[in-house]
Amino acid sequence: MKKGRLFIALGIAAGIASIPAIAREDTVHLIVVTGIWIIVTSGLNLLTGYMGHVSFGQAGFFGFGAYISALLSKMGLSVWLSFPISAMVTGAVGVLLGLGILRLSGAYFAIGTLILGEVLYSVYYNWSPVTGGYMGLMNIPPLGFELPFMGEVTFSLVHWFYFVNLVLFLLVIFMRKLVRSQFGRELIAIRQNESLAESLGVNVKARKLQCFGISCLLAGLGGAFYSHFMGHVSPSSFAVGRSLEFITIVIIGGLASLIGPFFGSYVLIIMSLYMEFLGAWRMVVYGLIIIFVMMFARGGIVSAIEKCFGVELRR
Amino acid sequence: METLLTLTQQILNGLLTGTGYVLIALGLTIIYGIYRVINMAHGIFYMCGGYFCYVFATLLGLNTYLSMLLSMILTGGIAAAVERIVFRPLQGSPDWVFLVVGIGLYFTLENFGWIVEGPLPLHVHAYATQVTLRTAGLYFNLQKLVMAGVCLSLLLLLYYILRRTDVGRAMRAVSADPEAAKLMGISPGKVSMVVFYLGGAFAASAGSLVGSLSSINPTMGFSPQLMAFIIVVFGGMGSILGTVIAGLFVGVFQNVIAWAIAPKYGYAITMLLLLIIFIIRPKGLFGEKS
Repeated sequence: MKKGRLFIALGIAAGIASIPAIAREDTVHLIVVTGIWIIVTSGLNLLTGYMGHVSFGQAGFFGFGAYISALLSKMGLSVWLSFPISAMVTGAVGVLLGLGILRLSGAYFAIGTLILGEVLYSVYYNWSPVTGGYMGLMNIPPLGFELPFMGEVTFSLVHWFYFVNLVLFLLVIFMRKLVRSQFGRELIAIRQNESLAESLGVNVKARKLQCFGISCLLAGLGGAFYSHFMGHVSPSSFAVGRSLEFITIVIIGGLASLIGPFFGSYVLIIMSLYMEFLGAWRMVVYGLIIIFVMMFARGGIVSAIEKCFGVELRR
Repeated sequence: METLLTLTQQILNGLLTGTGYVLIALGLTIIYGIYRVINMAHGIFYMCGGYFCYVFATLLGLNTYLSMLLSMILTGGIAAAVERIVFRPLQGSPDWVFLVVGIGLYFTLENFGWIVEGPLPLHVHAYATQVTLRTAGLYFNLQKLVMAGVCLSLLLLLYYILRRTDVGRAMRAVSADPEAAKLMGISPGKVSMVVFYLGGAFAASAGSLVGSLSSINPTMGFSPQLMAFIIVVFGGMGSILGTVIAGLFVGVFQNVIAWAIAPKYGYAITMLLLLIIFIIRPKGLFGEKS
C-alpha cells in the first residue's frame, strides 16, 4: 500500500516536472503565477477556512512583502536573503496590526481588514520617494545563483517553475503538519465557538495572533516571489480588487481544505483564460459563478468533487 | 483671517461632500438594520442610478431632477429584484456568505455595466453644476447645494416612513425582533424588499447627483461603496442618526486633512483614523448595545 502511494506520488511529481518540456512558455508562466497565488491563498485559507475570519485586506500584505523584498534587494541584499526577511517582516507587521484588528470579529473584522488594505494601498500609491508612487518600482534584481565555473546564472522561467513548485510542496507538508497539530485543532475550535474554546483552555488571543501572523507571512512570501518574478511592482497589483480575488479563490476552492486553494487558483485562472471567447461577458460569467457557488455549492469545488466521486479530499 | 475663511470653505465643502456619502450610506444602514449583513453590492445601485440618470437627462433630454427621480424608481426596482432573487434564498447563512455573494453580484453587474455603458466616461446634463454662488467670501456649487437639499428631504421622508406608516412600523418591528414580528403577521420578505427598494433608490439619488458633478462610468461605485461601509460601521451599524453624523464628519475630516496636510494623504489619513476609532470602539459611535 505504502509503496503504491509512493509510486503514485513519484508519477505525479514526474508529470509536473515534465511540464516545462511540453507546455508552451506562456502556460509555464501562468503556472508560476498561479503557484504564487496558491502560496498567498493557503495562508488566507488558514485564517478564513480554519479560524473563520474573512479578510478583505490580504493584498495589502501581499504588497508589503513585494515592496520590502524589492527595496532590500535594490539596496544590494542577496535576493535569497530578502525572501525570508521580507516574509518575516510582513509576518511581524501582521502580528503588530493584528494586536488591534483582531479585537474585531465577524463582519467587523472583514471591514477592518478592508480598511487596513486601503490604508496600505494608499501608502504604496502615495509614498513616492520609497515606493515609486503610482509607477511603482522598476528593475527589481532577478533571482540568480552561482555555479562553480559558469558564474552568476539568472533564474529563467523554467527555474522559477521548479522553484515555486518546490516551495509549494514544502508548504503543503508544513500546512498539513500545522493543521493536524494541536494548533490547527485549536483554530477550528475558535471558528466553531470562540467562548467555548476559551473556556476549554485554548489561548484564543495568542492563537488568533499566530494564525494572522502566519497568513501575513505567507502573503508576504508570495509578494516577494511576485516582485522578483515580474521584475516590477506597481500599487495597482495590491488594490482591494486583488484582495477580493484572493478571498474568492479560497472560498470557491473550498474552505478548510489544504487542496482547496489549488483548485480555486487553477480553476479561476483557467476560467479567465479559456473564456476568452466570451469577450466582455467573461467577467460577468465570473461573477455569476461566484454567486452560484455561494447559493448552491457552498463547500466550493472540493466539496463538489467529494460529493460527485465519493472521495475524501478534506484531510 | 484668510486662513479662517479657507478653513470655513473647506468645512462647508466637506459637509457637502458628506451629504453624498450620507445618501449612499443610508441605504446600507437600513439594509443592515433588517438583514444584519453588509451589502457588498451597494455600489452597483449607485452606478445604476448614475447611468439611468444619464439615459434620461442626456440621451432623452429630460429635466435633471426628474431624471434623478425616474432613476431612483428604476434602481429601487433592481435592488428589490436582487434581494428577492439572490439574498432571500440565503437567509440564515453565515455572514461571510452574504459578503462573498455581494462581491459576486458586484463583479457581475459592474462588468455588465462595461458592456452596456462602454469604456468612455459619460456626462449627465445638469445646468446647476455650472452655477457657483458666492456669499460672504464663500463659494458654493449649486448642484452640491441641491444634493444637500435632496439628502435632507430623503432623510425626512425616511423618518416619516419609519415613524408614521405601517410599512415603517413593520420595518422597525423586523429590525427589533424578526421572530416576534413574524408572529404578529408581518412578512419579513416583503419588508426586506421595501428596505432594498429604499436603499437602492437612495444610492441612485447619490449616483445621479455625484455623477452629474463628475462623470458616470461602470467602476464609479467602488470607492463610494468602500467609504459607505466605513461610514456605516463608524456610525454604529443600523443607526440612522449615527450614519448621518459619521458621513458628514468623514466628509469634513477628509477635506480639512487634504487642505491642511496634503491632498493625496487626505484619503489615507482618514482611513487610518477610522481604523483606529473602529478598533477602539468596534460597535461604532452610536452602535447598539450588544
